[in-house]
Amino acid sequence: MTTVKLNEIVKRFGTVTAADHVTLTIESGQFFTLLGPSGCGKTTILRITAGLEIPDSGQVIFDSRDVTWTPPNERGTGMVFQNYALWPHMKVFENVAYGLRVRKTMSEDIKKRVKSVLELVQLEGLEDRFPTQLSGGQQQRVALARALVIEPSVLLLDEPLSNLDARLRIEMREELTKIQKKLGITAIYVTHDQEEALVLSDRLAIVNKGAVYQTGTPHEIYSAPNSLFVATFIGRCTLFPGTVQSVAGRYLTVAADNGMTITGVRSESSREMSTGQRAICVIRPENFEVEAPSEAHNTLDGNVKFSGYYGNRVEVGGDFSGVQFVANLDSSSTPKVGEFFRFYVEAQEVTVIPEEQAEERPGAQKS
Amino acid sequence: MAGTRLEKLKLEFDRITILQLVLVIFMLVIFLVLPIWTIIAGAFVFKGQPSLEWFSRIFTNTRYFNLTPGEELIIHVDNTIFIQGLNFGIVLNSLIVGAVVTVLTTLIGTALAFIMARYEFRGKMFFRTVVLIPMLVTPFINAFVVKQWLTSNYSLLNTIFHDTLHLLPFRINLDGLAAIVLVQVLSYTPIVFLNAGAAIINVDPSLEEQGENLGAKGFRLLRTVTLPLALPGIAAGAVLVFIFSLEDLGGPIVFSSNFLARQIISYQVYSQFYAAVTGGILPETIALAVILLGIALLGFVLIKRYISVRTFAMLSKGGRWSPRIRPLGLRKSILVYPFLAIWIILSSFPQIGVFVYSFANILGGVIPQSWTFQNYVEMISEPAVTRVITNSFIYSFAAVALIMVVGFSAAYLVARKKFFGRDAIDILSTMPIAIPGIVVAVGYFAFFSLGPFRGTPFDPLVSPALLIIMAYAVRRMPFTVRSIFAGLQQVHVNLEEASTNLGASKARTFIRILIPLIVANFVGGAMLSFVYCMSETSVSITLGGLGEGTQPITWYMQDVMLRAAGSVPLAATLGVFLMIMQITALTLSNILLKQRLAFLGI
Repeated sequence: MTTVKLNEIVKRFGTVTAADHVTLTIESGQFFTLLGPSGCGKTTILRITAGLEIPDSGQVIFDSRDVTWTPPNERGTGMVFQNYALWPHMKVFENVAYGLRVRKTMSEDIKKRVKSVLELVQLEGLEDRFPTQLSGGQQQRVALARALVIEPSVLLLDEPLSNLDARLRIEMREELTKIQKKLGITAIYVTHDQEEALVLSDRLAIVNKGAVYQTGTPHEIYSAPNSLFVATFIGRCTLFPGTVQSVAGRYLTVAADNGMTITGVRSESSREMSTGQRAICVIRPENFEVEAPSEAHNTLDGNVKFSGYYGNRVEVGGDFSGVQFVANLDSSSTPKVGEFFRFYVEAQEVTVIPEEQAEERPGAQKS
Repeated sequence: MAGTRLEKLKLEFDRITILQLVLVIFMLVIFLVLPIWTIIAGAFVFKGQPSLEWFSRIFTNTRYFNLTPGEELIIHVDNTIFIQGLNFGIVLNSLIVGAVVTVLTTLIGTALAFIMARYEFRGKMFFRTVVLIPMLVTPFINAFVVKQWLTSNYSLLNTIFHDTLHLLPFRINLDGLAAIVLVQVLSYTPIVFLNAGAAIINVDPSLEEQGENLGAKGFRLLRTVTLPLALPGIAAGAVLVFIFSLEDLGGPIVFSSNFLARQIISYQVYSQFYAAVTGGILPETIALAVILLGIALLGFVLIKRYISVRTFAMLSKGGRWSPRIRPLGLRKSILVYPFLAIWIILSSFPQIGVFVYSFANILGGVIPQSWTFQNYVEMISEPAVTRVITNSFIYSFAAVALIMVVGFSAAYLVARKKFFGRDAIDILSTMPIAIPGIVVAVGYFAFFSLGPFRGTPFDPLVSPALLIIMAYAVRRMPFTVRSIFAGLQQVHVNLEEASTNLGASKARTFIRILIPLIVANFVGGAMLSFVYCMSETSVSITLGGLGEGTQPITWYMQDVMLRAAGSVPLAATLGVFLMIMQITALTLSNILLKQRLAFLGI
């Protein structure tokens, strides 16, 4: 299995920078996701890895081999395209066997390997169908089988689930992780769906405007975003802009612009802050509590403007003296619109990010 | 970083891409740009100095520009109505003939297209097919049939309807420019019909329904919604007709016994061509060719720009695309049926006449004395005739082989690659459709015989065979390029990338993935190119006549018209032979490409 390193990759299309000094390391056997809004450059990074785009500068390294100038057909990656790119003039068997034929595999061996990979993706018996005779989910599996059968050094997946309906998408993503773990293959996955990214990935990178904003495990990214973009792109949150009042180790106390004082912790990957600097406190909806915890906590009084019942929770929204908030409450609670509500949030659960990072991208990333 | 850039270039321009580029550029530069450039440059030189002398001679000479023709359009003498047109000078005559033909074909073609697109009536399939008969190219012989019917006091029309049946109170004699206009209108109307038809069908019906919903009906709806939306397609057809009219040689040559019929740019350039063989080409002739080229290209460029600006995106967003086809009411039937009947009789009689003549046995005069299969026997046994058939086949096959390689390369580069000069390749590979054949012929002669290739196998005076092949290839390449380009647009680039990603080389990707996916476009385009190579006229009768034993079919047909060196029925038989090939190829290519010849547009 292969470790993939991207080193200072730059790629411009006209005036658009699709990859802006991208540096990433994807460990062997890892399921790594590039997550970002559409048009952010994540597909370009994937295509550069496959060799289908040529970077303006930077290196692509597979293990210790520099493949930056290796043509795509000599890289041994297996790519699953967003539109599957199944060849309509070939039956399923021929589609899957193609990569093996290119490799001049013996025909007996081809039969065996195609059969076994089709079993893996649960498509046995469909060898003689044409792609147009298959459902979307089946086509997706053929595309996956076609990429897997050559035992690629890296599996590259470009939004492979985006053309499936919601239920199939969830089924397929579970299967995808199972297959990837079973084969122990290095996989790079591109998506704009944050839930998909959180569920699937061992690690992920948040990409925006061609640049990597943050890399980490799903939990790190969700609970400790390093920038406003990452915080707001992954999940919903309540934001308190303000000024740092005091610093005590990792703990920061911020005088929010709305008059409240909030204590939180700095995200490990964001830069140090000192007293007097602008900062933003980020609170996830599920971190609001209605009973005071024993730890150090913030007390926030808010006016409830709406509430919605979701079955497993109740979502309430309103404002804390001018700051809009969203909080999840227990499904048994019955907040009333117009009511004043007191919330508690543990200082541990508040992420403080420097405000100047809100617009510009964070500094060089370690991954 | 120089190393990096080199590596990058190597990846972007692999060996196959470079080979394709070199091929395409070589072909377009040597066999299109340089010959054309030679005559353009030549036209602007006087006594070794850059000058507009030749053009000013043309523009001040009443032979070319004459605003006072001083005759009557319709001359009525001795119970005969004689119409031949007015002489406004060679350049203006060409423009006037072109304009009149364009207006008439546009009116008739659009009306036909509208009827076919919007009404359902008995016999529609029949009419729709028969309307296309004039598309069948039978060089010279179709004009010859018109001449037999309408020209001279003893024409078939006068003999039958005046002398015998006494239905006509006077004789009609149509000749000169008027006859050329008639022949061209009959032949070119289907071009507008096809382009307008495709354009009308592409108008989203819901746009018309919205118009109706707001209260517009009938002619108002047509004028305010349908026609404006279909206009780009109609205009493309019209411009193509204008260009074809300008470059037409068949009509002027067949009617060349009439002085006025010779007062046309294309004929003038043509008639000077043989003078060139012995001496050199008169710069005045070259300047005239450049004017012809300039007008044609101007039309081509303007319409391309117009279409790209005015082609409306009419993708229906959801909803049912139910074509607005209504039954033809009784009142409209009274108008439509006679119109269609008269039109198809008029427009198909040249082709029918060609067919009839192919069975004719003519010992003297123009009226067949008896009917025979002898002409067909001669076509396959007479050495002079089998020779030209064989030549045409060899030239056309060679040209199409070249077209398939170069045309595919050009279409692929334009569709898939980004590089400096891509637009130039795009324009140059489709432009020959707008370059008058006679200009290509003069350009080739000037460049290959008088220029640096003198005495080489490319010199038409050594042997024209090679140049005929190249001229066919360049002139007929647009059909294949457009067809393959359309195919490539249907094939998502991911399909090729998936193959590369799995380790296939570019050659393998072409052979196993891309070409199988566009094979219909390949074959369809190549067949069109092939049949229009077989019936190519301008280069065939000029360069083609330079060698002994190297002449193609159309040269032989022209020879019959001009020199009476062969028999007209035999030429008609060759016309039938060409028609059969065209019907076969067009039908097959329609089936393969699933579209109705609309790529005969711009």
